[in-house]
Amino acid sequence: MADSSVSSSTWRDAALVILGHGSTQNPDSSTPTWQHADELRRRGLFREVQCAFWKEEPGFREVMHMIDSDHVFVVPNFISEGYFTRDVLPRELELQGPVTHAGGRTIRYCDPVGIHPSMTRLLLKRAAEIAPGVPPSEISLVIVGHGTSLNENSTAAIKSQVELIRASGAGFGEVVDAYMEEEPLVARWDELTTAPNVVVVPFFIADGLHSYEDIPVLLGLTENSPGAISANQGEVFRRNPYALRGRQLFYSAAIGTDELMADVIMDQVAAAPQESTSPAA
Amino acid sequence: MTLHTKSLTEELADWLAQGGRRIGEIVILPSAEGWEVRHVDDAESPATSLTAHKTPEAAREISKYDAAGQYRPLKGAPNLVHGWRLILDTTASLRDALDFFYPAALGNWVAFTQGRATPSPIRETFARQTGMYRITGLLDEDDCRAVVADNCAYATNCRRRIAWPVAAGVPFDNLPPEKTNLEPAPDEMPVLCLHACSLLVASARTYIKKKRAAAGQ
Ligand code: SF4
Repeated sequence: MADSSVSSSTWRDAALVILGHGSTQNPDSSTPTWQHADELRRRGLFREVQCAFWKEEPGFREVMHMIDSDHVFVVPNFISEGYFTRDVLPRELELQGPVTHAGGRTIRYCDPVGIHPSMTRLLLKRAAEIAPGVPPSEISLVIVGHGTSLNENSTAAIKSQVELIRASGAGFGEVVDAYMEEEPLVARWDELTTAPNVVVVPFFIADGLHSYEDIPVLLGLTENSPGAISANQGEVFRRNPYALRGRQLFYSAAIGTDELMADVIMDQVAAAPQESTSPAA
Repeated sequence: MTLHTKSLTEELADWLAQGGRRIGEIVILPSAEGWEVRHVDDAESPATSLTAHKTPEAAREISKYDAAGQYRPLKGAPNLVHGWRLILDTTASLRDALDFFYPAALGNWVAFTQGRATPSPIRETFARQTGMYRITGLLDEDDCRAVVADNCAYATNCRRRIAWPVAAGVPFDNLPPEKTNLEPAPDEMPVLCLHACSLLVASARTYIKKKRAAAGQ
């Protein structure tokens, strides 16, 4: 959590840079990142707030040219630690470690949003919002990730959230993890859960093909008709609840679209790495 | 130690004071309210024929889709929509709007002209790729010339001007002059490309995979 040497008074003279993946195909991919940046700009906590993307502009290699501050907090708006946060981002930003001194600047590289314990708060809020009036004890909460192939540890991030929610005293009937491409498969959601109500939350940074189309098909909410849902985009989230396989199923948008993600970004800033050595002159 | 003597907003104000008016496809006009931004083709249009916007963030929405409703991931693409005007009351909000129309263009240009930017030769950009893009390290100099000429075509694909060579000491010799001219008209701020974008890296991957397949590799 927050420590004394990286205080909010430091933030006001500093820049916040939020890094996202972005997409050359999906116009919604970068939307949550921009929204969180807008929100944090409105709060006026930082001298400046900028975004940069792997697949969109501005790119990682140019974002440092866009800021005036000598102190920079960099927060990856990524769901887990992995290839991007450990390899691509440090390389493209030319980071030297958790704290980088370069060109008269101090850059603090924070952990990605998805691994912060406060993600639990968002998942609980999302579950309460999406199934209003349903007692938690009658809900099976399913947190869905991609699994395998992608060289990302989203599986670890999701498993840790499942543990945190079980321990949170929120009182859900059960909390389980499920994946698109590895066991336990989300397609078997009815076997993985027992409660009469099932709330499914995709653990992704943005809505896109996975949340608009792939997961709904795996859940059985829609037929496999590529493009049919993405044409209507958010429509699949507005038809709750679904009566399916003898249960009532509530399907949520990607967790990263929640406005409270701005707070998680701030939590990662508050936990920013410390100076290991005194700043270079 | 401070990095800059002036803020980017002050640098922009200086450029405007010296008559700077154009960036990419947009024109910046002094107005009673402060500044008015338009598509350069709409510079002479009656204000009443254009849809008025008043926040920097409107620039993000204006530049998101082309006239046919297609997503514009590459902001340098010469297909910015027409028919709008953006009225901004401060140079700071103009700076924010510019960063939505042409992300990092102001900062790149300031850093470059002050000698603080080091453009990556394209072969170095390809050589440092990892994962599925590692294969782009196999492009030789002629491959690079071909893929850049095609992917980055000034007239049709991208108005950024490349500040990087093929390799250190090896400039491009096959591109139209405007693609590498980093000092256009005195009233124009060039939209610089200091490092290849992900679209070019993806094109290079497709190119080299096809070439190797054709060679039976
Ligand atoms: S590499 Fe640069 S010049 Fe080429 S398309 Fe991308 S942004 Fe434009």
